[in-house]
Amino acid sequence: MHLFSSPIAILVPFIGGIVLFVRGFRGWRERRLILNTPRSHIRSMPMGLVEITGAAEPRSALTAPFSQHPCVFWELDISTRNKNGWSVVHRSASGHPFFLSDGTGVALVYPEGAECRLCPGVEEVCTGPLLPPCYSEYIHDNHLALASVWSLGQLRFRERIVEEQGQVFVMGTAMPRTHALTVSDADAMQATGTDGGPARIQTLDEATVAVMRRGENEPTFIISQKSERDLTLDLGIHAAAQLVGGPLLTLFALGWWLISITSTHGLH
Amino acid sequence: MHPMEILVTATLLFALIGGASMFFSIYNGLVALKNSVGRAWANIDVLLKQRHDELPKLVSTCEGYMQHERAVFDALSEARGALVKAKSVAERAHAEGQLTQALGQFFAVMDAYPDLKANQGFLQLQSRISDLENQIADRREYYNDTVTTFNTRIQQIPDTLVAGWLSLLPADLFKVAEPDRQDVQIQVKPAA
Repeated sequence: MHLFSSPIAILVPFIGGIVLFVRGFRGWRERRLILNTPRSHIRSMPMGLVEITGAAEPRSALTAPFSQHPCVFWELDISTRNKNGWSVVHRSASGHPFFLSDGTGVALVYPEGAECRLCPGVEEVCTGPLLPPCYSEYIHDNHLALASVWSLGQLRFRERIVEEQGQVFVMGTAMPRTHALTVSDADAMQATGTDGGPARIQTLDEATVAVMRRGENEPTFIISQKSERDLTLDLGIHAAAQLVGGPLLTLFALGWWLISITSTHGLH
Repeated sequence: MHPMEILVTATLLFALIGGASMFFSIYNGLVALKNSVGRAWANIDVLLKQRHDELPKLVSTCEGYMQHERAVFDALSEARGALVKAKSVAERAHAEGQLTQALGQFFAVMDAYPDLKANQGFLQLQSRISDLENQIADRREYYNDTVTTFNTRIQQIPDTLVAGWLSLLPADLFKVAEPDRQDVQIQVKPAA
């Protein structure tokens, strides 16, 4: 049986091409939005969609789940191997807010719902049910019920982190900071695992000009370790490839389908 | 319908959808950018208004101490008045420069009055005005960046075609006039 003789084999690239085309436009729009938004100094940033760059500082003591590195923010994914490559079966990220300081002021970033573009970190491929403790403990702690099924084949573990004082580019919605914020006393804070005591947090909280998060009206929220220039270059290349590749894929599937039905009719 | 005709139709359909999407994307982008210029200007205006409101407090705090500096107060009052009257970006930029220079002169002269420098109310006002000055400078930079992006976009192909259809004109930069950039001239009169 020929690869493209089944309707599904034609439908998948046909629809996939359209999806790529639409995603290409979304990427293009995002690229233009980044290019059209000038960078703000934190001390004077206006409320609404803004773009800031600065050094990340932790608000809570965080360690990355796989590498156990102290960090400001982490994200990870677990993938299983199938015939088309790797397929992500679990994805997670730390939801802890962190401070971003650019020398003029401090902003508090709530990373929930952000599109993260972090540099590659830990990546390991494991086979079989006997996983290294760092991975098996994570699976156990997070009650990933299907893990025993996944581990029958190859599993890929990836982790990306933002380290303390790491340079981060953030584009999101700036909102006024909460004035009703209270910091717990030293003992209570230690119980939550927060380092540095309340004094450090209090100082940074007082210096916080605004809060950055995903906006309700403007969903663009990017956290990236790449510079604005590299980020827009990446987005531009991806978007151009999807805008050209998507229609080509759909047209190829359509052409193949037309050839196959013509040849079938021809045979009859 | 011949298979080749179907393929050509599909290709044209993609080109049409692509072209229309590109047009809408450029149109929406330019509208958003135009509104960003307005927003950036409004954000400067908020700070100018705040600084404008702080000036009478500063004058009333200092008048008792600096009775021999009438010229400095007059320059400040004149610059404040000019800022109120200014309407266009260029006029406001000029008035803003004048006011910044008058304030610079004011704070420079103040060095001759140690009693005033020890006044807590004055120190708070000075710090507040200084913060506002820094924020105005940042937002002016932000406004100029937004305007430059907007002006560049509406002159570039293919955006210029949509900009022409929307009758978009280049926006004014917030430029500080050359005389307003000159160093502050201080002539301190001896305190009585």
